Amino acid sequence: MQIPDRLQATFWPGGRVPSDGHLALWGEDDPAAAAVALGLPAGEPATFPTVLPAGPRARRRVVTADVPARVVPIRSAARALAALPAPGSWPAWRQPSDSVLGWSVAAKLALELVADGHLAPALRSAGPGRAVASWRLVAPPDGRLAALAAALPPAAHALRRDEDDDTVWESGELLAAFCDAVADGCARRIGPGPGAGWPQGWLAALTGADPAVPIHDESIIDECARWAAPVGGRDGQAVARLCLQLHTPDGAEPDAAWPLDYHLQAADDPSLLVSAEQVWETGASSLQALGRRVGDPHESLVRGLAEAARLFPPIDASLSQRCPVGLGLDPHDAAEFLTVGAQSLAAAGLGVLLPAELTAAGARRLRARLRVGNPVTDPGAGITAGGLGADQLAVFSWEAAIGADALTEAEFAEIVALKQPLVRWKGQWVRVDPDEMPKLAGLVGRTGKLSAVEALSVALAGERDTAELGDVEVVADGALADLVEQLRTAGAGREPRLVGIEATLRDYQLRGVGWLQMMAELGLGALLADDMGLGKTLQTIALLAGREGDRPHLVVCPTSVVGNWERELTRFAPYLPVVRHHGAERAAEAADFKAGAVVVTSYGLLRRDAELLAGVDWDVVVLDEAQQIKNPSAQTARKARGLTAQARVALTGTPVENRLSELWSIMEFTNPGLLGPFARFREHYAVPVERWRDPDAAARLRQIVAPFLLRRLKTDPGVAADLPPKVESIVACTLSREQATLYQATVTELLDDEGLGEGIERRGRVLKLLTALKQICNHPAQFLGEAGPLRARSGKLARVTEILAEVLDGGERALVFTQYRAMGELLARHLGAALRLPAVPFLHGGVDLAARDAMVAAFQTDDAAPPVLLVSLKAGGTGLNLTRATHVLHYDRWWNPAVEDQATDRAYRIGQTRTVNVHKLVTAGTLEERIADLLEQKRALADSVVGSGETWITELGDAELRALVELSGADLAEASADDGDA
Amino acid sequence: MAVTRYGLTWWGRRWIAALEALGAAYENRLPRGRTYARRGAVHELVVTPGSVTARVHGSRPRPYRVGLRMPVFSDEEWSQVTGALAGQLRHAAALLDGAMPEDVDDTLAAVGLSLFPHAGELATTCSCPDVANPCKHVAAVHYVLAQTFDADPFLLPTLRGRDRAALLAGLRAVRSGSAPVDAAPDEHTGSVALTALSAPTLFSARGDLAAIGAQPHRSPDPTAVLRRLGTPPGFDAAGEQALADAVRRAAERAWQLAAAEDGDPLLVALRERGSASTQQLGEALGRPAEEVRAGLRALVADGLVSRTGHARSTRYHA
Repeated sequence: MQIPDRLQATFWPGGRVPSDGHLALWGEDDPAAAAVALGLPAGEPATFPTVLPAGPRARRRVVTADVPARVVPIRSAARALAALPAPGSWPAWRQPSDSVLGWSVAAKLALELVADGHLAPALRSAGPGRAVASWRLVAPPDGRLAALAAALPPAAHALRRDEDDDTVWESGELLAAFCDAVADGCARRIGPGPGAGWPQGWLAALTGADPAVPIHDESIIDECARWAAPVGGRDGQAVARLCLQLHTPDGAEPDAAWPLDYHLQAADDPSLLVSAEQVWETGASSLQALGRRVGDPHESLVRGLAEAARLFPPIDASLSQRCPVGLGLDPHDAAEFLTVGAQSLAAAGLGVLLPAELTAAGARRLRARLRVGNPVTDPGAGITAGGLGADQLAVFSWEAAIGADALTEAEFAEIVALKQPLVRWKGQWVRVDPDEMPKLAGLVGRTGKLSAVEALSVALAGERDTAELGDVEVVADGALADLVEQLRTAGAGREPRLVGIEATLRDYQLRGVGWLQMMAELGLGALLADDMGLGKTLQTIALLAGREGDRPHLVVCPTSVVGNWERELTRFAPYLPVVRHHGAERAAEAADFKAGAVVVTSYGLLRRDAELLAGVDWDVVVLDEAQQIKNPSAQTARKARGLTAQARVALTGTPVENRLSELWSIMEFTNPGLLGPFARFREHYAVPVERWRDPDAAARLRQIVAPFLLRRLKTDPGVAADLPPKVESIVACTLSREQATLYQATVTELLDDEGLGEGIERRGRVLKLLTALKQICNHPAQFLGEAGPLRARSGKLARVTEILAEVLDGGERALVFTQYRAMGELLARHLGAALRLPAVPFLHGGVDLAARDAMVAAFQTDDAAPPVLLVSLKAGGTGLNLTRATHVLHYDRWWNPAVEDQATDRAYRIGQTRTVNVHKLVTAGTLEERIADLLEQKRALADSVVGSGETWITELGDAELRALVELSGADLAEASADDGDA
Repeated sequence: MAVTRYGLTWWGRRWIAALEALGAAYENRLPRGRTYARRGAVHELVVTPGSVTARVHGSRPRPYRVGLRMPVFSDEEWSQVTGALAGQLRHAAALLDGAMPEDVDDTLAAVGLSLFPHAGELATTCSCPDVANPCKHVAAVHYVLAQTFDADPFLLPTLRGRDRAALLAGLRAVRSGSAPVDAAPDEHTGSVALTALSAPTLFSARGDLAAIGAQPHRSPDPTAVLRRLGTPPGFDAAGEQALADAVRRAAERAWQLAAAEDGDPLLVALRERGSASTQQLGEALGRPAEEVRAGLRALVADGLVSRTGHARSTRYHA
């Protein structure tokens, strides 16, 4: 018998009413901790009667087992389960068990149904004179609950039946009990308070905490059951439903009858239609159609028609016939059917088919829409000049439209005068809602104003939420229409202007620069979210170098990459003046930021020097690793929004389209107001897209966001063809204050105080110095031989964690090489916690052969294995095949390109189909950076000059050595901990 | 609708009336059975074609056996009955919804038949020593039978020889113009034998969970399902309104649970403090006390927060 190693969930009914049931969480050594790690409540301890695999000898057999569990009351369970991301959107190594995912789907489904009103009250006997009131879920016959019941893993319903030990609950039954529990839980404890008599007693028992109802006559129980019987069927049994199909009349005369045909429709496959005529001809209790068996065809049709007649009375006439197959509706009934009838019939779970030309998609309906156009403040300037300031306004006007055509005043008046619900207009039927017409008549022609950013937002979305009519279609006009068109085509074919850039840009990078330049010229913010390794920094530098403004630029980035920005700016745009606004010697006045200069600062200083930075009139403000402002209400985000700029650019490599609160926060920086207030955004987009993958909400969001977001993946055909198989980059990190102090002290001690001596002794001392400095750059804990703490002490560790987080977000895998076993162990521990991985394997010399093979095999083939593998350079630098990695990080340097290349080749070798990104980490201002520069300059000579590893350094003279190792003063850095808001 | 006597439905009352019409003996004896029936003395009531059996606890420890016989319709008569019932779909619709069609008497009278007993059709027996017929045990069974008919209108046709499946098959046959086909038996059971489970697949989904979409939304009208059912028994307009309100609140609650913040600021603030009053939380969050109180109520209802004290001394605990 073995407890499963992942947390399992099973619903556990019990108590007087359905909502007394609990979700049982079991498995793992500590189910409470596992639950909390997933975001589920820890619950109360309990012993859960379930089954477990008998053991390795009895391969297939299961045995009864009572396991330690935590139980969570249904409402908090449903709430937490519904907040879990949808199955399929989890990285494999973090994915919860199928039973947890199954109940998460169940919770979302049950909540959807209850939110839609699919619940009914019930009453059951509880002994003489007493009854218990509860709610149950009324499942619509769409087959989803049946599909879920069929898909649940056995563990999800492996609750042993009370009466015996030979059986467990059947999945459909347990799912139904769970749904009833959710319905009961939602409806209970929100009632008006106690009540007596009938029906007040029942109502109070349904909505209060106490479900008991005193009754005088027990027959009321049966009567209530009979009343609720029409919605009594369990989903899965009723697979077919009535479907009503409306056709347009054959003739064009206004009083022609509209045929309404009856069909039987498979609830889970609406395309499967059987005509009523065919159903009546079948005498059997099931019928075969389109390769499927449909049960109880007559009864489904009969009940459906009776139900439909209650909701749409004209159908009642059919109930007086023996075998009705349809009905002719007069135009008023047809119009009634098109509006309220069809809606309530569909809401009741019946199928409704409308003529295509009259459906919402066909839009053959006389309706009001908004025409949004030029700003009124300065018609000549166009909407875009100088950005979308709050002071700029656009005008809108209401107009009447049919299909895509706007109606003239006369046409509109003519149609209204007909007073017909369905009219022929230009050869087609058009719906006219007579009740709506007075309102429309009052609106058409009215005008108003809205802010420029809102105008752009609604024009992109194609709709606006209005007080008058709810969501209303929007058409853009004039300059706004041109801008929308321009944004939609994303500046296609635009030539980028490259000035002062000393690099060759790939094609997709040129497109990116062109897009950034267009957005900046339009005064709109841009979010460049290319995959890591595609050169976001280079594209941004090209934008900065090409600007002809008379203002300075600002780059805000994590402390760990301040050095890297400086480095890349100097390398790619050598004529662009760079000002580091970091460290103790930073500028204190806005005047120090000269026009055209690029000021590089950290998020920590954005907060600390907020006043200074907000007082500068910037040209371009760039936020690198913009996910740093993911929390919209945090200080960093607020300070970033407070900066004044001509153009705003945010850079991130994480898939923002999946983390919408982050996207909102970043967009609020780049284009304030475009996505509306956060609360509304959350309700309309974030929750539907993230939790239940609502395709409509996702599409609407994409409409608005797409023009402001450029994200290319390494796998995009246009990009992949452009990428070399291997991209190497030097990643410059920043020292923490502690590292800098230790570094300085070590250099002073070994060079000045003790001296290096001569000969063998000197060589030993130099190597000792190099090792000490490399360890300090790696992490003070490694140098000091400590176990921790690890956070916020090493710029390099911070940077590596950021890179790996991005790699994992993109669903990729990475190898991390180090030459120190101690550092590897520190890394394994830190990365496991920081990246929320169960464990990070470390392949080093002390690992036996079998364990090594297992690590390699898991990394190469197992989806659920940790996506990061730490490898000691000596133990794993050769021989292994680790082609599943697309990123290779060299945490510390061996100074021997051949050895490093060999290690890189674990991933970059035959069998590798994707580009491998190699990140070589060096600490800015230290010997690491200087040696890296040396190697880069002399790569051709590298093998001959430094081929023997580090020994060549011992041959250097005192002055050369000092120049190599000494810390450049300006690099004294802030602690990396500055970056977070925590 | 009155709820004070047996035979709530019109056909339950019709059954009693039919008995009362059988003669003065019934008319006088029936009320005596009512007390027995209310006491729950009648057990093991079984309705089969042509007969009803039951046990009734009387004054002796051994219950009495009560039997009731009524002639079944012949096949010929049944085909007339189904032919008449199939004439209008609303008859079958009513039966499927758990009600005897209201004009069933008139419909069947047209073919000269009735589901209810008429003079000379009913024979009853009881193992009690009472010589009166019907005795009070028989009378009690009649009352319980009326109640049973209330719950399942298909029992009357069953007594006349055709159970639910057979009657529905007959109706189908009339509509389709072919011979009746028997319904397939229902094989549904509520549990799974342990032997049907397999250890290697115990923890694996048996289908694609990601393929099952669920998209909670705020419904503009969450009472459509309730409206389908009509007025609940014994409800007045105010009661119906209250029930609709309860459904609306439940729907809103479900939406809130579905879209709940991962970190509800109220809950976060309370967790930081351990326990607090409404006023303290209101001040901490800068929100009006009324809003905070409503939020706390919802959290209490979800089982995330507990409450102690009352009125002004109420404190909430995370």
